[in-house]
Amino acid sequence: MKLYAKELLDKLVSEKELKVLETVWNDELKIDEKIERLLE
Amino acid sequence: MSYLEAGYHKPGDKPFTFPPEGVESKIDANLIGIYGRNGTGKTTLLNVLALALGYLEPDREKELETKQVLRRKLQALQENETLEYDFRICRNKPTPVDLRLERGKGQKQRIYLNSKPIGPETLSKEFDVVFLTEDDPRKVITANKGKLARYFMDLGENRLKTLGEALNKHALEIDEFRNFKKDERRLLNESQVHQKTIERDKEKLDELREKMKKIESRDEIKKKLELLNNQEKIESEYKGVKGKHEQLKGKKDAEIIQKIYKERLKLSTQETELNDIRARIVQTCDSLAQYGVTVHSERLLRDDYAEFNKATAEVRRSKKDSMIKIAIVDEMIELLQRHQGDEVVPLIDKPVREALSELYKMKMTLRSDRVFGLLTALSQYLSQRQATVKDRDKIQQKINDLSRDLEDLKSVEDIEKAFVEAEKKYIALQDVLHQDKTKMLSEWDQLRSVKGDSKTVSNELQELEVQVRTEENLKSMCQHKLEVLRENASAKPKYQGKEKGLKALNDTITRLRENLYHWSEILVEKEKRESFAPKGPGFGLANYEKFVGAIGEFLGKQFEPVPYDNRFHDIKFFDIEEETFTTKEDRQIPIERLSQGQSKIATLTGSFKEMGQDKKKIVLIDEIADLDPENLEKVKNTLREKFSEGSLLLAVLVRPTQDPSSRSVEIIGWS
Repeated sequence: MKLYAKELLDKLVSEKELKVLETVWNDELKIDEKIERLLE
Repeated sequence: MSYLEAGYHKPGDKPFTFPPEGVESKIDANLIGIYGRNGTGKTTLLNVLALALGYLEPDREKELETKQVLRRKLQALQENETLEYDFRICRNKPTPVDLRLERGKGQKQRIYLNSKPIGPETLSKEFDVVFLTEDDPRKVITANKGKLARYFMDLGENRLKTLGEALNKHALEIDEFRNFKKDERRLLNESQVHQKTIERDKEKLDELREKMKKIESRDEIKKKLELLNNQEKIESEYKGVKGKHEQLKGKKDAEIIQKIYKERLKLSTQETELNDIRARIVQTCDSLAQYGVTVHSERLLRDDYAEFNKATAEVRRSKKDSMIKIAIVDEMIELLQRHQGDEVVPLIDKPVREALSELYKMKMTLRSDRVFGLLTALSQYLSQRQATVKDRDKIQQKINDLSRDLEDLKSVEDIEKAFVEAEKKYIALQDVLHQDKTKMLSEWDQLRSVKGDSKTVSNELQELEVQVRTEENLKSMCQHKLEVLRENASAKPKYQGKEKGLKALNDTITRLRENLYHWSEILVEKEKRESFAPKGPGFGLANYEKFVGAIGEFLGKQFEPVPYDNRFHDIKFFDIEEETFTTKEDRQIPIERLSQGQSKIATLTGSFKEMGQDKKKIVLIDEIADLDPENLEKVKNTLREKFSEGSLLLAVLVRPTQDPSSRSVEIIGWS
């Protein structure tokens, strides 16, 4: 799932923060899977 | 027409459809107006129609160079495998046209002209499309800002918030695991404190219950002794009320009234009888006076018989012989009446019948003395009067008794209550009388010194019981927490050892949420430049300026080249503070300078001129909200003219409505 307005967010947040946003935007992942992915 | 938007629709969601449910999809008109609220799919319908009519075909390449955003939208629709539509455009004159454009999910488009399949080239050869798209700058800006604000709020206040909460839960688990011993000790202590309080309160409860028992015994014995002391009074009251109660039991008002009525009738008869007797007495006394015998009737009626007795005694003295004779005659009559008439009476040698006849005559002769007769009659009247007075008094007494019963019946409820009370006391007394009085007195000696009343002690008991239950609940909660704590401590927390990572992630989420909140507030114009401090912690002026720059570039990219000063300008930036566009040549164009209505009319007129005259035209105009009535009429006049001369096949004008009471979408024909 592509993050909406990614080109805008690219300019506003760090790479790490963008990863957080992309992960929370992904509805295919459950909450614990999101945490796992972000703690990797 | 319907399709699913990738990145928007979730599994199970309903696709976008047009027209919405409840709106008729067929219309018998070639000049059509579609009115609807924002978000109802009007623009998408025009996009899909344009796509179906070949707007992405190579011969449109030049036109689309200036409409990159539209091109991207149409391409996205073209590549969307969920898109399906079925359009049919018909006209009867001057030449019949029946154009059908259909596409199923994941399939290619099929085109039929007058029921015959045709290819895109034929479509392009036969038909020309004029597509004037939404490009009102202010509307584009407002829509984009609103959409972004909602998106930022969703990211921050929904998605990141949920993630943050989950992270905190894990951090808490780790914390609990680490502090297990300390927490366990604290909970055990708490539980012990509650237990001690419970035990202490329960001891108090036992004492109070014992006290209550004594108070109740004391009160009971006191009551019994009071009954014994009042024995005579209770028994007499009981008997009195019982008598009255039994007397009235079963009696009814109506029965008593009926009886009183009957007795009154009898009384009336007796009174009449007395009056008659009185009249006879008065008359007899008056007659006696004629013979010089004075007996005053009024004295007799006052029960003064002195004159009467004196007169009677005098007459009896003078008539003694006659009286004896009369007595003998009466006895003889009585004797002879026992025999048959034809039997013979010895001594006189006459039949009984004759002898009786003579005896009657003799009696009549003996009684012929008037004074004697009057006094005898008066004596009879006086006797009658005495008997009648006696009867009358009896009746009067009965009436009095019945009247009292009637009065008593009125207060029968009170008597009933008094009887129940008296009976209760009486029964209780009988019970006490059967008990050992000595033992009772001995118990009283032991309990008389017990202080307090049952109501106060009962209240104290209730309060203490509630206190004990509360303490028991608190202790139970402590134990439950202890169990949970021990259970949690039995397994190592999932992210034990990754506390730093969790904290860093949580910090990132917190920071992002703050930023998203401010971005959203800036977009909806609740926060402006002056809201932010140049220095200091949190979202400051530098963050604001960074956002304004990024959003300006983002919004700039949403625009097609805009017509201004007789030529098109590529936009690279939109300043949300100044509401000004910056072109690629660094020219500044304030948003209010761009008048879209005029532009649409010019484009429409130009398009008709450029088109091949032999082609049938289809005109699609998106958003004519900003056209004033005069300009709108100009557009409509042009279209009417083209339709009547036969060069226009279909015109669809789309216009937004802000009226919340209207239907979501209305499709109407105009001419």
